Amino acid sequence: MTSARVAGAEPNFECVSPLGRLASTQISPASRIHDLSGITIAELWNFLFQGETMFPAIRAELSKRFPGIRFVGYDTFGSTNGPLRNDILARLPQTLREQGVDAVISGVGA
Amino acid sequence: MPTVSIVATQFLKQAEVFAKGLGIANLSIAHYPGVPMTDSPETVREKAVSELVSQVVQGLAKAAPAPAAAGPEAPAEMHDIVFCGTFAQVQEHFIRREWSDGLPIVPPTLAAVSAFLRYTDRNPEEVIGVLPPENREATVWNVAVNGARAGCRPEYMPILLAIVEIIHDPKFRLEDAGSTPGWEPLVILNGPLVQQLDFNCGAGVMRIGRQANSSIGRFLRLYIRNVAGSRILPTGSDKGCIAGNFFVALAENEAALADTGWEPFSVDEGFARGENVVTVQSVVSVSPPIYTAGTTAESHMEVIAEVMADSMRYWSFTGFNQGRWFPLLVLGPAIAAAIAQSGWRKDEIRRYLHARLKVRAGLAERYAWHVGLTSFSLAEQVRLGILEAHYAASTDPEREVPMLIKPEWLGIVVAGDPGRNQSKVFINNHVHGERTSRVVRLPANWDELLAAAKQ
Repeated sequence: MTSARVAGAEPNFECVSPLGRLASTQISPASRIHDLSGITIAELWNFLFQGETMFPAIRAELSKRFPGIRFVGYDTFGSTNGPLRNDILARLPQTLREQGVDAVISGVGA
Repeated sequence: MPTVSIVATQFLKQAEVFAKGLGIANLSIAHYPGVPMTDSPETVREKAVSELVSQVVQGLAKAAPAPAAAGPEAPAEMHDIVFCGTFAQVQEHFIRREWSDGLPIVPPTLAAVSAFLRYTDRNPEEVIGVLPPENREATVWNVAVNGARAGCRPEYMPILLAIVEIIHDPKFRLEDAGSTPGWEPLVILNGPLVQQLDFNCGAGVMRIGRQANSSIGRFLRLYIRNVAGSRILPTGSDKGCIAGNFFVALAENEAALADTGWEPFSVDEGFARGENVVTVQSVVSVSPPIYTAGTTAESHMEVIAEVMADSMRYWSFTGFNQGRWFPLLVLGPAIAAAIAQSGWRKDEIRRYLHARLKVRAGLAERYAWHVGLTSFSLAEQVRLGILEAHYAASTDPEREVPMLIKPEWLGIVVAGDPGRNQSKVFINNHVHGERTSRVVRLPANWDELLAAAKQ
């Protein structure tokens, strides 16, 4: 019964959910890196929100703190927000491998 | 591979919802305090060092804890009764669970849903696709549920299914429905269904007031809210800064086209005349009403071009950035007829406007910077092959470049008051909600069902 009325009472409505089943399954995070010395970090940028200032500042500070750290700059990958994004993201695993990347800093969401 | 994502603090909720939907709930995030675009480069540099660097180091060393489950998580098995109560109690429950847009909904009972399912041959369990950001399954069943509660009539079901197929198309980029411009999807309908289902295509066509137009517009916003999971803050991921209301569905007045000799909008989009076609595209803003007078095409088009240029100039850089832009011109029937009497077809309108809608290059680059495209230049877009060479014909910031990247991307629909001389332009958000169309698939016994619905 989808709705019911007791004599003199307001009807009740039996409602179904308006949502859909969640389709995603959670994946485990990659192993972390406890010492950034000597590792290679890729910068992935959407070419937005003053990333051209943020990334070099982060790069310079991390270089001071961690000897041997190396960066693959955002220009190597191109904008992750522009019309070439699908190609860039499709190529990304290969590009990261070719560049010997150990970790990624991605931004900027705003 | 370990990652850290840089996100402004006010976007943490959005990041959380997307990460969870993508299956990476414990995504490491370094958050930037404040609004990057109101900070000077010196402040950005200082915050990057003082705020972001330590978070980057920590994020690469240790995965973030997964956030506690948030937002609606109903069991959502098809026939499960998730709530039983009076009309008022149903409203309260749906509001508390954030299943409502704040307006009263029609209780989605099994009987109501079954009524919608009669108007499709498709299996209720069919999964149309998975919708971001929450990555929930869009099914024939939950299209019926949300159609019912939006106040649609059951016979709208074939249109609702076509709409959901469209927003599931990767080209539509539903994942950007919560982007800061706050765009809204606009449904456009062509074909015999406009008359059969009593859509308004005349005066007040974009006004709430006719069930078909209004409830279908509301359905789409409710569906994006509940199945895609794009809700406003504080619990949702929708970051439309000011945003706007849902649009009622826009139906073309194909009868008025008889006075023009023009093909309907759906034919321009590649479909056969007489097919029932649904199109959905984003809209970020609407021009003022454009009143034009006279008996020649030039008399009308001169003013239309002036108002369109004023309305579109500011947002034109978004098209230049993505290389795609799809404004929509809605012409009043009397204006369309007057233009057509000069022998103009739609392509003449498009060529005329392509030649006249211009923006100064320096101005477009300046507007782009203010939004946050801090490294944007037309020359770079040309170098990357995103724009044609003439956009970088010189380095003079005073040079004018066409706002319409390709004339054929201007949509033209004839609708509105046939007794007046008004048009409007609906400006879309580049590739967010890119114009996408589907044929409406009717059930085999449609004529019989429609006759029954009209009794």
